[in-house]
Amino acid sequence: MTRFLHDREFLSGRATVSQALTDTAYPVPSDASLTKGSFVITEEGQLQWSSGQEWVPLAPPGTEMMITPWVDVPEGWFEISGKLGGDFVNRRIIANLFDFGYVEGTLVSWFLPVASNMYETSAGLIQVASPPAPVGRVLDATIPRLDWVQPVSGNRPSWGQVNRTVAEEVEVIDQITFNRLGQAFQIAIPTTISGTMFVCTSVGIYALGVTILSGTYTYGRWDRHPVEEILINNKFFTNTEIEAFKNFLVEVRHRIKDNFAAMPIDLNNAWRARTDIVSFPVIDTSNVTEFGQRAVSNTQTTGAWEGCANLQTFPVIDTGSGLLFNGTWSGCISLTSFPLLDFTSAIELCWTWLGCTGLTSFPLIDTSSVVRFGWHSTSVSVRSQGTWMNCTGLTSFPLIDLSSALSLDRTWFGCSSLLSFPLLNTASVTSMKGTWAGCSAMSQNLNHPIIASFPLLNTANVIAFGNGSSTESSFGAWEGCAAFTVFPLLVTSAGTDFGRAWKGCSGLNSFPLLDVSNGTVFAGTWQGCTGLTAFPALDIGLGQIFGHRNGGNYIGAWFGCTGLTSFPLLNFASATSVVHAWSNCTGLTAFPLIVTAACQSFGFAWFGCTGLTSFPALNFSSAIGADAAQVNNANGFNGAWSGCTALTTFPANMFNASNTRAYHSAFTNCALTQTSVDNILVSINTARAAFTLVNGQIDITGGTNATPSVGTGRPAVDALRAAGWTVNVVGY
Amino acid sequence: MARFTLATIAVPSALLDDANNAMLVLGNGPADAGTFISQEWALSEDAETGFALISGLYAQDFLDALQGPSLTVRPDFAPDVNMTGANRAKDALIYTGAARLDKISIRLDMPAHEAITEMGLVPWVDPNAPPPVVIDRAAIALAQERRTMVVSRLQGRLTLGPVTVAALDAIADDPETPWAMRETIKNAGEWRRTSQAMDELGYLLGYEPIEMDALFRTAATVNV
Repeated sequence: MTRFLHDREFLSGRATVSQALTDTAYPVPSDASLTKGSFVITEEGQLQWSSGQEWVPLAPPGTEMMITPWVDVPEGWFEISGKLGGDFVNRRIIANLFDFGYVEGTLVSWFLPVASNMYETSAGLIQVASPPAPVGRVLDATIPRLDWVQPVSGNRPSWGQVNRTVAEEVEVIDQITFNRLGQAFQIAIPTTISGTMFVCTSVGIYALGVTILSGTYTYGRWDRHPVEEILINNKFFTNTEIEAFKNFLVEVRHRIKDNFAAMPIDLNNAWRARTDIVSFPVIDTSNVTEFGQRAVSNTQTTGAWEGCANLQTFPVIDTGSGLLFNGTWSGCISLTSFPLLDFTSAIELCWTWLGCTGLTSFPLIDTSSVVRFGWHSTSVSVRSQGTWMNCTGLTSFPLIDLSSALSLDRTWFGCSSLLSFPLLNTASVTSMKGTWAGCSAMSQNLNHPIIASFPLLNTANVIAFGNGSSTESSFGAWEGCAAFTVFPLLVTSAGTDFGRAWKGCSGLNSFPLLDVSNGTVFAGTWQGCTGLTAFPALDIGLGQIFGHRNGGNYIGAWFGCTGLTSFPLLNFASATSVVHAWSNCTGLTAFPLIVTAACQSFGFAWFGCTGLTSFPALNFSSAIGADAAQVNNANGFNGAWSGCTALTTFPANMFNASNTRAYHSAFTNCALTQTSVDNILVSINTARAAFTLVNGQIDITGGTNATPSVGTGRPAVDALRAAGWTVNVVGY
Repeated sequence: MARFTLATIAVPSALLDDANNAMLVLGNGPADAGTFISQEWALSEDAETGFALISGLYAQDFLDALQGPSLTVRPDFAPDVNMTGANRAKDALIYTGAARLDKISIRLDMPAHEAITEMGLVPWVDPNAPPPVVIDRAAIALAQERRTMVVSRLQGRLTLGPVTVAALDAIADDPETPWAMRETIKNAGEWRRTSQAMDELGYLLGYEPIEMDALFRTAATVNV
């Protein structure tokens, strides 16, 4: 597809007007003897040359030729920078013998830290004298100059020197060290650059594909090794060009070509947040054990390529020694595929591919040694993250080996496009906090609409299906899997924490008779399961926590199960908190006489149960909220029946044994009869007298609540007010 | 004797302004007001509050000023610097012990990571950190390609074909057409995709930008 040019004649202008370019297809139909000197590029990208006798793959060394712009530079050839004129303005010239002059024209910035180029301050007034010294400005070696500066005194990298033996002579090599604590250089990039960046470090040269947007570009924030030279080209080099250029840098500039095997064993943060990187080279990482730092309590560190948001491809590097991959490719949102790397030694893959939203499939990597696929933080400011969390493009997942896995916390959290899930070996897993939370598309086998696609995983050893005891950042195993209509009968007998496990599974229209008999935490477990119309007689006898209220975070076991029309007589004998447990269960018309003798906190338990007309005589004798420390939203009966707009009948003596003064908004917006209002006031006043409760508050206002009677209710009101209580009732 | 001393300084979020004022007074440019910005560290036992931290080589006069009497001289480049805040930061310096939410911790001549460990700080992710910038690579690639789209006048005209070329020539002959455009159509030896004249020409011919790109790509393949 092109035409032979005699060595350098074209560039010198002596052969600018010769034969026309040929558009001969490959294979060339004509006899090679008739087209001596002509070239074609095969479908495989190989360049073939007519020797006059046959088509041969090699041209004489030093050959230069033109190619049309839509033809890629073949391997083994180098593009010569420079402009042609006339009819050849859109042609490219290539050569098969490298010369630095060929690429000099594409060089946008050349970071060359030698003493004569460096200044202590960014103003460039004080030249560095002797190492070590901070460096505020490095003069760029190209024209126009794009100097590398650091205007903030505290963030200036350090200049140092090492001795290097070259051809039996010791040479002093200048290096710049970035401390990975904020030191970096800034370069004012006038127009966007797309090309190859050569970074010469103390352990070797690597060539990155980069796109650097116009504006201020920051370099060095996380650089792992001292840097000796950087060359930024506004052209992507071929592998041949890269190799030749590296050889040039070694031979002429005495750089280390490849000693990456001597790298430190960790690459934590090494290219973190390098949004300029679009491709990464193969370097020797065979000795690296940490590609992402170990997760420890309350800390958050990141992986080698975390936040490389524009990294489009990743090569097959040697990860065979890698133990830790926490956050390694997290946030690489432009990756659309991932190579089959070696994870046979890996033990931690916490948030490894977090937020890789471009991935649509994932290879069958060997994860047989991995213990932790997710990490649950105890701190609200530190992320709890799972391996493939928020990989929203994944529609399926391979049958990876989980045989060593203990934790799957948030592992597939937010994989909202996952349609099905394989039957993985989860026999050793003990923690599934938020494992599939937000997998909102995962529902049924598309070919069998009645069969749930979520497999019958082995969950026999899982203790935590959620973390329902605390904060907003806690999630349940299947929270938000809104497309589930049925759920398999998993073995859950070892589970103790079911907090938010099925929260928001609004498509579930039934729930299996799971063994939750060891469960102690059920806060938010079925919250928002609006499709449930009935609830099975589960054994929740050890259940203690059925809800909580932290700030604006309202969590209750059946909160918002609006489809429930009845509720079974479950065993609440161990319950200590039913805060928000049945809030907004608007379909309930009656409530069973459950055992609540041990329950301390009833805050908002039946809030908004608009279908309830009466209430059973539950045992409230353990309610707390007597002292200041206990009077909060969750304790006592604050808001407990608020908004029960149909509730007319409330029994007498309900609060006689309740040592609490927390009834704030307890009965607002109800429909209580006068007798019921009197029952409540008299009972609370009885408790006041028995426990000497002062300064409490009770609200029985709004809705169609009756006024207390003159003979019964109002004297109780008077007595309470005399004890400092705030009593808000209708008409008195 | 070394001219510079390694100093590692950790500032809790509540003292960032004061610390930046101090750095402005002691620094050598207005950018030093932005020394402590990113909060990437926290106390291991209290991960709710961030610390900004720097570590680097400082000249002796910087360290002398930190340990000397109150700062009084406003630098020329920062006449409005808050000297009260700067001195508050100076007075808040502590040289030993764990980092505190009400003090600025500093270590001298100690490797940075040792200093951080001694301060009891651990890496921390600032919840307010901005998300990474995602590059529109297709747009960049197209812009780059357009810069290389240069064809000869003849290549362009042959690609346009006789009907369009006739229309083009009519535009060139029309006295209503601006003189510069007429000259461009008649006399430009080469057509550059990125030139403003080409955009105007495309508009006159009713070509969308994507059609102009196609025109140049095709024209480049014409052998003349």
